[in-house]
Amino acid sequence: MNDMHDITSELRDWIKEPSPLREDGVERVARLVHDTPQQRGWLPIAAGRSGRVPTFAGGAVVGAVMVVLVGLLLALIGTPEPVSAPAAMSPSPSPISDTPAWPGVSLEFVPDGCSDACATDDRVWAVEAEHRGDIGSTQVIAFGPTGAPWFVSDDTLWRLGEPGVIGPSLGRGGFGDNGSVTDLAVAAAGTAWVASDRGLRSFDGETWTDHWTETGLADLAIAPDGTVHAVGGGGGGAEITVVRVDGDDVSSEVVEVLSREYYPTAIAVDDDGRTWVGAIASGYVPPAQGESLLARSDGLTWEVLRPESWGTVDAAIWGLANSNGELWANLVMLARDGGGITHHIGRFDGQEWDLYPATAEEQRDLWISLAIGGDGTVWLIAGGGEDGSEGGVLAFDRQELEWTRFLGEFEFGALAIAPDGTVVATTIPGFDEDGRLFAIRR
Amino acid sequence: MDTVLVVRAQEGDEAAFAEITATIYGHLQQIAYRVLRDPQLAQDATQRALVRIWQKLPRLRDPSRFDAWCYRFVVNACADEARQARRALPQTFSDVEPITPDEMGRIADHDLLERAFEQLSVDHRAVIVLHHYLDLTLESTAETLGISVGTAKSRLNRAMTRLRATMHADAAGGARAPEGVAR
Repeated sequence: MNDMHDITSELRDWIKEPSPLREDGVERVARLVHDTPQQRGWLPIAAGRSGRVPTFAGGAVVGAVMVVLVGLLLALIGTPEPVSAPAAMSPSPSPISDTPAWPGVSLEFVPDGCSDACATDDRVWAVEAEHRGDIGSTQVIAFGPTGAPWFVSDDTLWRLGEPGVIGPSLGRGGFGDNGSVTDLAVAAAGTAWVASDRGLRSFDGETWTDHWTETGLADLAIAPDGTVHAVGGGGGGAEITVVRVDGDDVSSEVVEVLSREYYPTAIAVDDDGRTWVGAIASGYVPPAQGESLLARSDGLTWEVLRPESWGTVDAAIWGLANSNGELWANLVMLARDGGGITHHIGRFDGQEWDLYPATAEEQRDLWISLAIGGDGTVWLIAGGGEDGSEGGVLAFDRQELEWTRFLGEFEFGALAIAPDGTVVATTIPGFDEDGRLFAIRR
Repeated sequence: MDTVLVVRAQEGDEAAFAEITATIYGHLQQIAYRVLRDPQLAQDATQRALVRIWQKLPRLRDPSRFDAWCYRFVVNACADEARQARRALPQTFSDVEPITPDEMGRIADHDLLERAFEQLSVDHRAVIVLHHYLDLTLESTAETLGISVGTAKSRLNRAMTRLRATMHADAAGGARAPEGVAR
């Protein structure tokens, strides 16, 4: 090797050398293709029972018309293979209605719940309960180890409990006005943790415990080792503070490396025990040159991170999540050259960050929340775009690089994934008389 | 690729897809081989990719983008094949003796490249193949892989840095990394 420092030309020569290949696999592909149905756009062939979900009452009719039209089209073009759907399209049995954690709840199949590019086994249900308490606006959802969903609305913590009844209330948390609760998580032991403008509280099923009241908190995360971490403060010169609860021990530390003008938005603990904190600058104002909106601690020191792959733009962090050894981020990239704001999903595999930009359609959304399914699907909720963007629940398949939008006509406020993989999202204002709770399965 | 053929295949015409397969099979297989460096794995990856392409074809919105769209499936199929190969064949350490300085003169540069390349992850191999074998721009490479241009650039830089480092270590007779597809 004459020049070990410049191997590019050598590489280009080497990689274009002839290869020892035979093209004898074409016929096998033809056989495989013959036995493999194509995945059509999701068609509402198996319309669910209509009537109980007025919003979608027209879906079955539209679906029936579409089936006829598609049938005619296929007949005209002489395609021998019908659109495959029947087995996977059955609205029942549904996953969570058979789960003890969801007693007394009926699920209404939503035939047109998937807006575009759905897989044949994507399904959506509206969650119906026979009775509802006065839950009010639901801000956050979380699942406990038993698969039971928990909610916080106004100043009350709720759990789906008795058959046919949402509730009863497990206790008034004293969280203050609606909107003050920022996050909810349920630990493996069943203790619910609530972060709010008033600090960090937990509920063990009988009593409430205050763990932190010195600052409001923006986000919390339960680490793989069971410790609870929350971040708060910031903005207007206040210190950004991370609170850590380990059993009865409560400690805190200031994240000095992040500007006090930033607002922390997200916290996560990766499988190596490192704590990550993301932030945004007020009003989308880019941070000063050289400053970062992402910090990480190894337990001893904090460092700010400016990943090379993020380029020269600044990234505001709207959400962080740890899943299967990978850290995921909901990013808003702020271009300094007037290029505007773009949305990305970031994935850190332990060594480097990959960025997955949103498609043009999803760029118009305002992304909220972030959750990673067991199959690696990234889930977000979209809402509140300024230029007529849709709402809905977004799913990003990293393998296929495909986006799917569910229930685009609704604006959602909270999202969580059940242990069985069912995605649950509630609309704004929440799971009350005017709001809805939906379950999605893919 | 003839967009009329693509549209027919999108509508479920297996004969049209057979024509497409006959046209692109070799090209996709060459790409898969460049990533996997194994003829059998490359063939399996190509077939896996083509079946997935058939399945997903109705969702391709712009038939004129068919060729670039296919590359993504090949890269994903290569990653799947590499994962399965790792599971089936536990990593072993090479029994080849480290290369001594005296032997350097007998070893072609391409052998060093081959061995260093095989230490790269599939992600790193793919970005090199798309950029240096298919001559895609970084923008097109990023689009094919569904990642940002910054990520593509970063990934390519890391791949090349690791390639150089491995070649240095190899040439210096350093410790050998495990064989097989790295991750």
